[in-house]
Amino acid sequence: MDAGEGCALSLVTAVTAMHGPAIALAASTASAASSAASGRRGGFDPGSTLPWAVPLILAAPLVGYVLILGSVRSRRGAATVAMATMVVMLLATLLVGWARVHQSAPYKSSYQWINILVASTGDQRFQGFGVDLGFRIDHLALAALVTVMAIVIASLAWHRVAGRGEQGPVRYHVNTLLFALGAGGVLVSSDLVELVAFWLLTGLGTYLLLGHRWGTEGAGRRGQVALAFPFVGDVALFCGVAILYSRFATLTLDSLFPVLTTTLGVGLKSLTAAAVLIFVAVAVRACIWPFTAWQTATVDAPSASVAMAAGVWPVLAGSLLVRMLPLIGAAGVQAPRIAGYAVGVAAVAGPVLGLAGVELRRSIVLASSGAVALTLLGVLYPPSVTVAFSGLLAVAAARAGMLLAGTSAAGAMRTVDMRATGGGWQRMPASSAALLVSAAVIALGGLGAAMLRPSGPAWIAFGAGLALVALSVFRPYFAVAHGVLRRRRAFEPERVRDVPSSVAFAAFICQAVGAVALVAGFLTGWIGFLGAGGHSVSMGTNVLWLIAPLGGVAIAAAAFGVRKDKSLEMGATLGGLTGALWERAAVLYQRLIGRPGQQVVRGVEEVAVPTAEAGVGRAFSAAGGLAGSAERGLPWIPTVLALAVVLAAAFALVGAGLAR
Amino acid sequence: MSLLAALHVFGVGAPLMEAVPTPSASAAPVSFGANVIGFSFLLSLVVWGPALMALVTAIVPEPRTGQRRTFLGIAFWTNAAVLSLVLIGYAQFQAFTSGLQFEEKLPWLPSLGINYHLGVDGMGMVLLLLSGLVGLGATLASWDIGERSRTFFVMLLLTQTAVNGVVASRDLFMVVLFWAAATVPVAVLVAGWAGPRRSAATGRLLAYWGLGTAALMAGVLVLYAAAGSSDFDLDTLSKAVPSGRVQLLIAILFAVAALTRLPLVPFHGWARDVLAEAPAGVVVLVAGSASRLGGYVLVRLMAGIEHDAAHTLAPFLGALAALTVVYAGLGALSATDVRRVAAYLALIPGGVTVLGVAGLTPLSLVGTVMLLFAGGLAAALIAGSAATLADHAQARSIGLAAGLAGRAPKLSWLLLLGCLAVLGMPLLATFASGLMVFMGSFRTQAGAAVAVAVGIVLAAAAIARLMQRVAFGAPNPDAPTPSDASLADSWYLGILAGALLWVGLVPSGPKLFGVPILDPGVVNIVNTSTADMASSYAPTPVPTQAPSPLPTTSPSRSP
Repeated sequence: MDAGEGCALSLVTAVTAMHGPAIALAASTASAASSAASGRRGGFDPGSTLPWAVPLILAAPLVGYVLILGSVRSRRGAATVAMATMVVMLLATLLVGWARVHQSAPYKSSYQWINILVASTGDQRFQGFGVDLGFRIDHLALAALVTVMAIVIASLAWHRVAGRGEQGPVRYHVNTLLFALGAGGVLVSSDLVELVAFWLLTGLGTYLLLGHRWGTEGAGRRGQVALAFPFVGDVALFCGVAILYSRFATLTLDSLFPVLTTTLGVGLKSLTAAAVLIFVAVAVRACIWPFTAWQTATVDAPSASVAMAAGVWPVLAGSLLVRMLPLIGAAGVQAPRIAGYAVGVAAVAGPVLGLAGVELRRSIVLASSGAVALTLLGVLYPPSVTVAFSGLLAVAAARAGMLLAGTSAAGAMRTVDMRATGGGWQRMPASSAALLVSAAVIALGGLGAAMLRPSGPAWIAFGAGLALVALSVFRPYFAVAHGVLRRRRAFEPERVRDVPSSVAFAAFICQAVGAVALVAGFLTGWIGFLGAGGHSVSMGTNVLWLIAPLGGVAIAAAAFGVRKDKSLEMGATLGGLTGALWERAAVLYQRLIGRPGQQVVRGVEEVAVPTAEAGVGRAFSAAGGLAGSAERGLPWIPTVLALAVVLAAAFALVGAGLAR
Repeated sequence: MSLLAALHVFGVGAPLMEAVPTPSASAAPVSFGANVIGFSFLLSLVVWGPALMALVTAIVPEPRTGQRRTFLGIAFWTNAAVLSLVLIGYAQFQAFTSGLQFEEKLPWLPSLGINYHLGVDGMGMVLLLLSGLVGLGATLASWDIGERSRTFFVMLLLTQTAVNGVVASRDLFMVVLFWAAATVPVAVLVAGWAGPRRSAATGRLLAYWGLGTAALMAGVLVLYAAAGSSDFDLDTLSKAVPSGRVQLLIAILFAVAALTRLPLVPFHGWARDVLAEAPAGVVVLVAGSASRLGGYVLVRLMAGIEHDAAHTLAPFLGALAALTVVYAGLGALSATDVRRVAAYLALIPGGVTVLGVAGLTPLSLVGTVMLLFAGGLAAALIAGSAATLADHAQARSIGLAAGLAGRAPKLSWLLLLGCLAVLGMPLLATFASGLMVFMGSFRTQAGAAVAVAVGIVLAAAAIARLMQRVAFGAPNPDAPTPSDASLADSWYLGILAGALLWVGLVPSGPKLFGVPILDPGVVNIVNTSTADMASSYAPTPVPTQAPSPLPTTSPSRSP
């Protein structure tokens, strides 16, 4: 080990010496050192930093978490430490990216967390069990990491100013770092259990962030939805991984995929079950229809939390889907077909639902869910994997930026009802520009995948989806940025000002990342760099696909730019109808499932069990009474003798030595 | 050994030396303490120490008015000493060797084959550690017991003795004695200090635990008879090969005993009442360690001895496990009392434990034993925190004890941690253990595993509802003013939470640059005891000829 590596090792040890897991990550430097890029003679070799830069991606949020929890008490201090932590995380990622820019193979390192020999006989594959804390960083993971960190940094920067009045600032930043730690871990995991663990941690962070506001009924309900509903997907992921292990006895992706189709005794049924379960997890956390409720029901949470959840989770879900593509492919035709149809329907249903209702943030979430679904649809097909993933990164970042910008506008205009918004370009040009850029990126996010679409009915979903997404996502833009901002009770339009530049800039970070990712998705070099497979887009007649989103924009302009009031009123009516439908469904659920379930439990607890216990008690009492009568009525010596004979016979019958 | 030499000088070393068995070829050295102290009766101290101090507590003169915590102090220092001994034993435990350690054997009733035989393997060591932690936690949780505190702490210490005795005993007769002995002090504790429904809770406890004790006694006697009626030693009885029907009968009896103690639906009636009515210290003790003995019996006696019968019963156990977890989730969803919700949720680790036994694969059995430890801590944490929260909020109804997060943040966060532990969240010990249970059980009991997963989703919904109302929602203006956790409450809940976090972060023990430090790792210690037993259930390799379905023959069975 040379002096540079020795210094690096000392630095890592000093920074992370207090923390058990961090020590574990630091210990991976020894094994990671051998896989670092070969050093250049003279000059700075970024490859030499890999042994500590890679663990630093996860060690930084962990250290920041402990620091804030243990010693920071002020809002400003917590915000500063959290931001510094995220910047360190980003810098470490960029450093790793620099070191690996010319390396197409992923960087790998691992540390054993559990390694035991559970049996000494039987199938050799199941004689041991091990879970590693591992890193697997390829170019795709790097791109996803940068996008995620940009979203979190932008949200933190936005929250620092616009979220000044939020309760529990220290708690908020602690939960944000937990969320960032989990998200980073999902993207760099090499072990399936490790991935599930970080996935669950991210879910926990999401729950704590979305349920951040305490003391109101609404906050409690938000937390309830944010925990319970997506947990279905998390458990599905866990079950899918458990099925894979139970069949293949391996938890490492690199060793799993080569044996998917060559393992004796494992058929398509197991593979399909595992693939479908993992896809359910992807769909739930990506928040595509019909799993959008956990985000649409929590739009009242702190806006930065909503933006982070809406922006980061699609990246994590898409990343998981890309990594699981070999499994889905190996599962025959059923699994890809199920997944394809599901996201195809989601690409249409989500934006259609986004047209109902006039709540600004809910509309953005639903409209952009269609774009997320379109990109996931592209990911499912080999020729468009990388292009679609790049589009997904663009949509995710733009979604977060649009939510931040939209919340800024709604805050300034003192309403989230789109019927009462307007005049954005006159009074809030920066926010209006942000909304425009975000809407454009979201509307075009699925375009690259559409241009590479396979033959078959998928083009219907792409065509309709692109148009509907554009229509639906430009509706909030036109509602806020155009038209007249009317006076309301206790509200003067003349007093509306744009947000501070720092707040606007925060949203622009997301838009910039989104725009860059969108444009890069059409560059051959970028597609080759990401290296997840597939082709790059060639223009020519594929340009005709632009008609769909442009058509959607044109309709949106006509409906919400020119005839804004009527269109929004229609949307409000539709929203009222869907709301009534939901309430009806909730009543039916209570009547058919909820209340009967509670009645079953009450019936068992308050009737069946006490009745059974009373019956047993009566039986014992009767036996006791019988024994008492027997004792009074019968002579005791013959009774005891008879009992002894019975017991002896019983023992003899069950004892060894009696042939059966 | 140096202590023995000293005792030898005084003429008492010889009898003690005779008591020390000749170590078997594979057993670890009996002494502990890294040659600082040579000591042959660690386990006897751990088992009988609390009983001795219970006697001291019973006979010590009534303290003066200003010393009302004398009995608490005795119980606290006793449990601290026991935990220290257990920790030393744990640290000295030879993690990668098979066989018993800290073994003690003295003849007691040789004509009946009953010996005073103590010893621990990995499973026993980990359960003693659990008992030590829970015992200390239960004592701290009883800080505010002022009424008849002498009797209270005597019963607490006697319960500790009984629990430790079951875990450490290697003679099944003694196991039954200690198992039965746990019933009386727990019943007295519930009857004397529980809430308004104490009589119903006590009655149920006595009925179910009595049924379990009878079943265990019958099972042991049948096994004793089937083995030739020579010896109650576990090693001797485990080598017996009764006929299929007898094996099945024995396994069913052991299963009934285990399921009444764990408990599982439909034997859960006592747990719901006791955990909802008893004071926090009793709740912690019962949920944390006393109830885990059911799982211990299931693994040690049923799966460990009756292999064929275990296979036969596995689907039924899987179904019961699934039923318990689903029912617990539904029950928690429909309950309106904070403590009842926690009582239902505390059933879930037991259900997952039985799923692991039903899985009957090496991995699921390792996970089961580890989950006995982690699940005990999780159940104690959630039930204890709910009890303490209800006390401090002076309200039990979810509607009344509402919005407490702002006014009782410590208790709210600890309740949330308990809920997350029950769900098996990462960073907590229940994640690693539940992971192994599911990974192992999906191979053989996929249906039950999926059903248990569904039940855990229901539990998540119930937890979300509980936290929404009790912690994060709007406070009820009609409710009494709540207070946050006291120092004692923080300590006892902190011990439980800290243990969950520690084992969750480093289940294989912390290592510095690959060198283990302090903690050999719970999973390594558990594995020493389960590896041999689990090999009997190892899946057979898939034949390497042309692709064929999975073999229909069941895995090889011992002995």
